[in-house]
Amino acid sequence: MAKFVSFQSKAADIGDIYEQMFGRDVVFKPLSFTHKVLDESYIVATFKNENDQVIGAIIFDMPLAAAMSMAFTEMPPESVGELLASGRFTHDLWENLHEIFNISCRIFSLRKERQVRLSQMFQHDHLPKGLKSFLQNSKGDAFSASVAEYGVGECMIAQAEHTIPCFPPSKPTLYDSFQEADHAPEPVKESVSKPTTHRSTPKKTEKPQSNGNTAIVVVGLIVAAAIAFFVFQQ
Amino acid sequence: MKVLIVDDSRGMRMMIRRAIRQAGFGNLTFEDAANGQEGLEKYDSFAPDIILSDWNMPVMDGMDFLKAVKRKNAGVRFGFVTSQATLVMKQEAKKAGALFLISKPFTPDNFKDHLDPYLS
Repeated sequence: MAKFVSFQSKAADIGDIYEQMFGRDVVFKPLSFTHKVLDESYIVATFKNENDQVIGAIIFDMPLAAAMSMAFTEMPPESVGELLASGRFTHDLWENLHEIFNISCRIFSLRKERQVRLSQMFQHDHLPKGLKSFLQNSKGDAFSASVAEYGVGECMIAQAEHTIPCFPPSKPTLYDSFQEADHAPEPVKESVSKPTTHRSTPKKTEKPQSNGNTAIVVVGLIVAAAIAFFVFQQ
Repeated sequence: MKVLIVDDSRGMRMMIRRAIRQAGFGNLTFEDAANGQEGLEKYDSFAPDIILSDWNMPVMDGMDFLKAVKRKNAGVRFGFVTSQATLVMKQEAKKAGALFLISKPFTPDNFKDHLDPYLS
């Protein structure tokens, strides 16, 4: 079991995981600043323990997400630039990214053995509130990462000091959205559809209440008419 | 020899094939499935010599798949290839009849070590 003795060795251990994953040179270097990754477009994945508590998150900026998703299935390296220019990640590339994050759960088990699994993937502009503040306030480790032939990007790994309840997905997650769609997703910034829930629920509950009130009034009128008829006959 | 690879990631199924070939095993026929349910159907039609399966999959996970396929054939050769590989999971897999558990990310050598007794 690897043990982090320094920031540099941590970077090397993380690089080893991706090197094994892609079967090519992957170099992780620590960055002295932490939150620059959060200034640009990025993809974030959250990770849970066996008690469904979020224990950390991994963030790839878009150049790294593009490089890794293409390297995973050895797509032509020269297409990374085109992908970034177009902003169109195909279904296969999103699926690759999901599997890369899935395997990345190993990063959280380097120091001690524990069951960690991928929870959800989000785009930077569709984060649940809890996750956004977690990322902004966490002292995550930032790295530059280079994938041989496929390019360089930046990565941030944030760990919760104390495990926190799972972030409620206030909007559809990236993975959910492309799992549902049977076609290639929209460009990165637009691929998550706007939420359409929450509004219909009150309407559904209002209608039966209204029907119930009407029924009470009708029954009351019938009873009153019956009493009046009875009194009149007497 | 026939190998059935069951994983919900198409990219991962490709990587497993590649790693097995890089490990030096030849004359293999591969078949894929995206989850345990599909794996069971492929098991009937393909009759693999060995099954390599992910653990966490939609529809039917790897453990349920292993138990279901063992009910069909108790002697089936089955190994897990998964990103979650704790000691507890390894014990659980062994108890259910899995021959080995290869953790992701893997190298061709991992496959060589585990598959040599069955594919050589």
